[in-house]
Formats: sequence, C-alpha cells, structure tokens
Amino acid sequence: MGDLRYDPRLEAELEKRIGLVAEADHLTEPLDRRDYLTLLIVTVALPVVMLLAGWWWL
Amino acid sequence: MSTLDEGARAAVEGSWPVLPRERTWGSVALLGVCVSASVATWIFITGGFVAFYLPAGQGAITMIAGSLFGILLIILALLRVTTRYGIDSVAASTPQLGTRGSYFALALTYCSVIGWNTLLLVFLGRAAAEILISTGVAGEGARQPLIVVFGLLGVVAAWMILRGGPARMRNIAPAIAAGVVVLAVVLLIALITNVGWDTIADAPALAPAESQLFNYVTGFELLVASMLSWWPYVGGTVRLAPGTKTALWPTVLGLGLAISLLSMIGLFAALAVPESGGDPTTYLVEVGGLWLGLPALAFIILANVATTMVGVYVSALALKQIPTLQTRLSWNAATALTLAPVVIVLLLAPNWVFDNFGTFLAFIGVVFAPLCGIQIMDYVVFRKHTLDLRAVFLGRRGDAYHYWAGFNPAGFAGLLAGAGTYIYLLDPILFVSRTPYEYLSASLPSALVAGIVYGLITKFVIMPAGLGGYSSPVMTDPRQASLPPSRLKEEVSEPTPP
Repeated sequence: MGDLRYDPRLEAELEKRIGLVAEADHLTEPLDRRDYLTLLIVTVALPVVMLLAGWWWL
Repeated sequence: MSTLDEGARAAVEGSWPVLPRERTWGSVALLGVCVSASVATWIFITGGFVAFYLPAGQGAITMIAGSLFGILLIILALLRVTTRYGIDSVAASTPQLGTRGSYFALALTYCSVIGWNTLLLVFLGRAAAEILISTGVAGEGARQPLIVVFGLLGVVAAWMILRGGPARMRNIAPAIAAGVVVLAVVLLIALITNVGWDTIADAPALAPAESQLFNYVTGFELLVASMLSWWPYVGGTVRLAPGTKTALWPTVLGLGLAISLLSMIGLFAALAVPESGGDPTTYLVEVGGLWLGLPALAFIILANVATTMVGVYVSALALKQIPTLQTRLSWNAATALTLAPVVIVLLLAPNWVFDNFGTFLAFIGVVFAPLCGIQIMDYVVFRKHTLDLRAVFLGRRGDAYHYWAGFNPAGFAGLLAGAGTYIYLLDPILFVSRTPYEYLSASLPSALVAGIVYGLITKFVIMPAGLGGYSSPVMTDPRQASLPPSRLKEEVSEPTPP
C-alpha cells in the first residue's frame, strides 16, 4: 500500500503512529503454544472426528 | 469518536495502524460484532443451500466442520498480524502481493462485500415486502418493486448510521446480535412446533447428486467457502481489539461456530418447507402466524442493516488504502462509494446473487482460499507474524514490499496455482467435481497448493534477490520497523535490558 504521496505533516503523523505501534508490540498478547493447541483441537481435530462420525453413523 | 484526535480519527476511520490505546473492543464487544455480522439472514440462505445436498443430521455436521476449518484458515492467515499492528486485511496482504499488488486484495474485498451486501439488502426488501403483503397493505403484484425500494432504503439507513463512524457500529452490534440469536431460537421452536422434529429429521435432501460422498463433501465445502468470505471482515474488526488473545475466541465462536449453528436453522427450515430454499421471509408468517411473523420480519430488516454496516465499514477502510483517496475522500464519501455498486445491482439485477448463490460461494473459495494459503505460508513459516509497517504504509521504490514494479510474483503465482487447483477440483459454475474433490474438498487443497507455490518461489527467487525484507532486522524484532537506519543502528548496539 506504499508509494504514498502524503503531505509532510500527515506523513510525520503516520511515522509517529507506526513508531508507537511498534513500541507497544509487547502489549498485543501473542498466542502461546497452549492457545494454538486448543485452536487446533477445536478447529481441526473436532471437525475431523465429527465428519468421520457423521459419515459412518448417519 | 469525539475523543479521538485527528490522527486517531484518520487511523480508525482510515487505514492507518490503530494504536493499542485506541483498540477499545474487548472480548464481549468483539464477540457481539462478530455474531451480529455472522448471523444475518445469509445463514438461512447458506443452510438452505446445504439442504439441496444433505439431510438434517449430515448437513448439521458438515456445516459445523466446514465453518471451523474455514475460520482456522483465516485465523492463521490474519489474526496475529492484524491484531499486532492494528491493520486491516488488505494492508496485511501487502507483504505477499506487493505495494501495488495489494490492490488486487482490495478489489476482491470490494467485490465480495458488494455481493454479500446485495444479498442482505434484497433479503431486507423481501422481509419488508412480506410484511406489507401479509397485512394487506400491498398486493402480491407489488412484491418485486417493494423489494427494490426497501433494499434502497436499507442502503440509505446503513449509510446514515455509519456517519457516526465505527464506534456507532460497536455500540449497537451486541444488542442486534442478541436479538438475532433470539429470533433464530424462536424460529426453530416455531418450526418444530408446527412441522414436527421427526419430519425435519427424516426429510430427504432436496436435490442430491448421485454420489453420496460428493453431497457430503459439498456440504462441508460450502461452509468453508462461506467462511472464507470473512477474510475482509476479520482484519477490519479484530484490529480494534487490544490483542490476539482477546480476539481469538470471539472470532472462532462469533464467526465460526455461530454461523454454523444458526445456519442449521436455515437447513432445517429448507427441509421442513422445501419450496422456501431456507428463505425465512417466505415461511415466517405461514409458520408463526402474524403475531410471530411480523415482528420477526421487522427484526430481520434491522439485523440486515446492521450487517450491511459491517460490510460497508470494512470495504470503506479498504478503499481508503488507495493513496489518492486516503486523505481526499471523506469517511462519508467512502461509505457512499462502497454502497454505490450495491444500489446499481439492486436496480438492475436484484435477484442475480440470489439466483447464483452457489456460484457466488464457489468463487469466494476460488479467490480467498489461495489468498489465505499464501498468507499462512508467509506469516507463519517465513515472517513469524512480523511485518515492516513503514514498508506497508510509506513504502517506495526499493523498499521491502515494492518487489518488481510493486508486484510480488510469488504471491500472484500462488494465487493462480491455488485458483487453478480449485477450479480443477470443483467447477464453480457447473458445480461439477473431479477426483480427489470427494476426499479433500476444494478450498483446503487450493490453499495448500497456493502456499507451496508461494513458498518455493519465495525461497528460491525472492529471497536470493534480496526482496521482501526477509533478511531485514525487522523480521526478528518488530520494534525496529519504526526506526530510521541511523537510529536502528543505535538501538541494535544498545544492551538488552534485563
């Protein structure tokens, strides 16, 4: 989305904003191993079991 | 919005990264926005479409599985990077497609949202027309003109409400969501009371194919593709949540699970009232009588306006990514520009999306599955969920994401390979499949092939050419993204605090 032609005031504002976002990176709650594991159980393992069960028993 | 300064307003209403202190949507608000967006009347159409292929039990299972698989693709592709940097989906596609190539993602967003909004507003028009016809205010012959007129009124209502900015959307979304869930439950009870659960459970699929395996996988594929159409919406909404953990489960539950559970009502209704195709406006009064049907139809109108607003919000954000529009186009003009094509479709071909819903869904899969595939490969494998914000928003010739003339060939090769894979496996127009569609579906292999092609070209062409910012310090420490080269050198040489 680059190649911007901002006026200098807006470009300075955007630079400042980008800096603040990058500095606050530690506040953005990255997912840990447990989150990913739970996510995979809910969105992969559970649906696969359901699909197999639905195919064999229904 | 009144408390925000000019920069914050530009960021929230525009495409700039949202600062953590401006990300005010907690889990409940985000869940409300996700649920209110997901449980509009398209759940009835989607569920009704599955009823063509599958009966109640298998349909319900494939819908839940498809929704959860679909939302996983979007979460892996987008969730971390959009919540980490406060950017929307189109901006997040810049590292994969290039500074100019990301306009392709913008075009996809625009087209997808136009399609869904047209569907919603025609639905709104149908609900309003049904109210007037059921109460004898208008005759049956006025149905089609009424659909168009009320659809247009819906456009005006959505635009007027969005004049208050995205905060207005956040404030009313949870109430709308709760109401839609209540409506869905009441509908289910009315259906079971009037038709009987046994009738619904034993009803055969409406128009199944010969191959039972094809029917089963198609039920799954329809929900995966339907879920992939949330690609533009997810970035636009989760960027206003304070962190990835906060956004994770509202996204999974509010989009993935809610859509599948509530689409089941569309499935059950289509099986119980086969001629409805899952469209509640055709059977609400018949099943529930005037006392239930009219308030429910009125509520559908309200809910569809709310959902249309979310679509307009994300596509207006995407429009404001275009540099010439970023500062010259006001928020109100951006939302109007987003709604303008919907008005044209409503006037010229109001039933087009309805009549071609399966093809519309398949095309969503054709374009968004590969896009998710290349983003997952790039963000999860190569970039570890980091990007260079300066290169995304201020990038110029020679910067990380300029690649060649602003386009990343790896991204477009991946998209082409993924789209080709999808079309080979499932013809989106004729709905004819080829092996191994019956075992793998179409969206998942399409995303996989796109990701592999992207990964190979990136590894053997882009990285050796020194493009894409893969060797930059920003890849290991996102804090450096904001710093000019001289300051970067100082920061890197400073000892790390304990």
